Amino acid sequence: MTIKGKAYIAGAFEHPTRLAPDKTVAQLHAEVALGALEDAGLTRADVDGYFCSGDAPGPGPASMAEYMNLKLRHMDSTEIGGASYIALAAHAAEAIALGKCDVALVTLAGRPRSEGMATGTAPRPRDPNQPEAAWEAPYAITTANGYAMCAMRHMYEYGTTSEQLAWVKVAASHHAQHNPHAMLPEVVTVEDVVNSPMIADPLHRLDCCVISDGGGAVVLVRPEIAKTLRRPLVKIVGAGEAVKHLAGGTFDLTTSGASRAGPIAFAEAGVTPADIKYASIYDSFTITVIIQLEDLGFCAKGAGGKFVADGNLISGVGKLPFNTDGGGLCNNHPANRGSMTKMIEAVRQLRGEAHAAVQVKDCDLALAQGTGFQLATRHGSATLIMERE
Amino acid sequence: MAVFAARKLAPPVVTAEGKAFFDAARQGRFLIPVCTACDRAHWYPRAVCPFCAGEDVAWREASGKGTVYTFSVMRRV
Repeated sequence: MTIKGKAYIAGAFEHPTRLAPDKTVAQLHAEVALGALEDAGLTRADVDGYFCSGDAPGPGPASMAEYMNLKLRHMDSTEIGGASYIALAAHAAEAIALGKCDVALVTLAGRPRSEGMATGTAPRPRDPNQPEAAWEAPYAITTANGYAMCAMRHMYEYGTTSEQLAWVKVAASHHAQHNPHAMLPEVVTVEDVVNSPMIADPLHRLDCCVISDGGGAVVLVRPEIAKTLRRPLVKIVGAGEAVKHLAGGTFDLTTSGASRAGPIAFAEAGVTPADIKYASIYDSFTITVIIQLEDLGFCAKGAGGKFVADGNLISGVGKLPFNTDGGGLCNNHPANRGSMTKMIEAVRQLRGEAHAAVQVKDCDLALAQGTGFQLATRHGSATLIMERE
Repeated sequence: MAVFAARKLAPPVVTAEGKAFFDAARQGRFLIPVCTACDRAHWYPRAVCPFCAGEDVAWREASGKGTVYTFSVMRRV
């Protein structure tokens, strides 16, 4: 059993807002849902499967299903942080392949910017029933701290430099200059990044993603339905997911869950990293991109710093164009979760609808990669490979 | 030389699985959990061994020696 070719992404929509003090989270979910359905040429009445995660208000899918007045016969509210939306798209493809639903809606939305949330630099509240809480919470680890510890170890083991990390941000900024919605559209240099204030050693301010409101949605459908719609055909060909954790204390912080999710996705798709024309790679911090690129096999473990240097991720310049919308580092990071917007930009690339300045020529095979929760402790990882038909 | 602001750390939530550790810590002893079935130490402490699923986990006093694996100092909050 495979999902290869069993489902198509027929609709995709990214909310244009980056600051939404006058909207509710439920409203943003509904707006992105309607946007993605309109993009597909479908309506709410066509939706029989709904997929959401921890950002959706209310427990699981019930509250949003009611708000949007959906009549569902299949639903899923997998929570692996920011990686959830790629995993949910894969779960939607699985459900479609099994005949459990025909039109699957996946939504993400949130307002951390309006709510004044110190996303990366303040400890997040934890449920005391989480078994690790007693052993970690007292030390008040922050998101930036954790990812920074991974970067520090990567530097120690492989000689990765701050300048190499900076190239990830430089490439993202080259793309963001063409995105009218990007929060940070200015092109920056390696010097700008390494001279920006230190947030958590060795990560500088410009190594960190933005905090934004907003959201996004995708609609997946059966092949027979996709072929009746007006949009270019974007087919799911492979997916993988994993949870990586500290494994009783036997861990390696230079490796992410992508080292397991990626090979599963490539095997299902029957392709290799060399076949990928465009990659959306989750970029909470610059180090997140380097570690995932290695884990996915775009380069050897430890060679990620060298791989991203000298503009290798810039569309039209380097070998692997990435995050051509500017990514989380420059464009947006709605609900502090990245994989929905990663998927959406990959769909744009496959449709030939990315900005002309960053559109990859003959882009027929793309990958989207998400990481959720904390790279340094336990996190979800999800990989999706899509093909233009 | 950087100046670090003193920060107030919240006391740990002491659960049934962690009580022996924190009782010993209060007396200045650092205990680590070791499975009596497979003789492996694990962290964080739990009642079920993550390696062999053994349910008889004992406490052993640690030497107190170790190697720093990685670190990061939060500069901006």
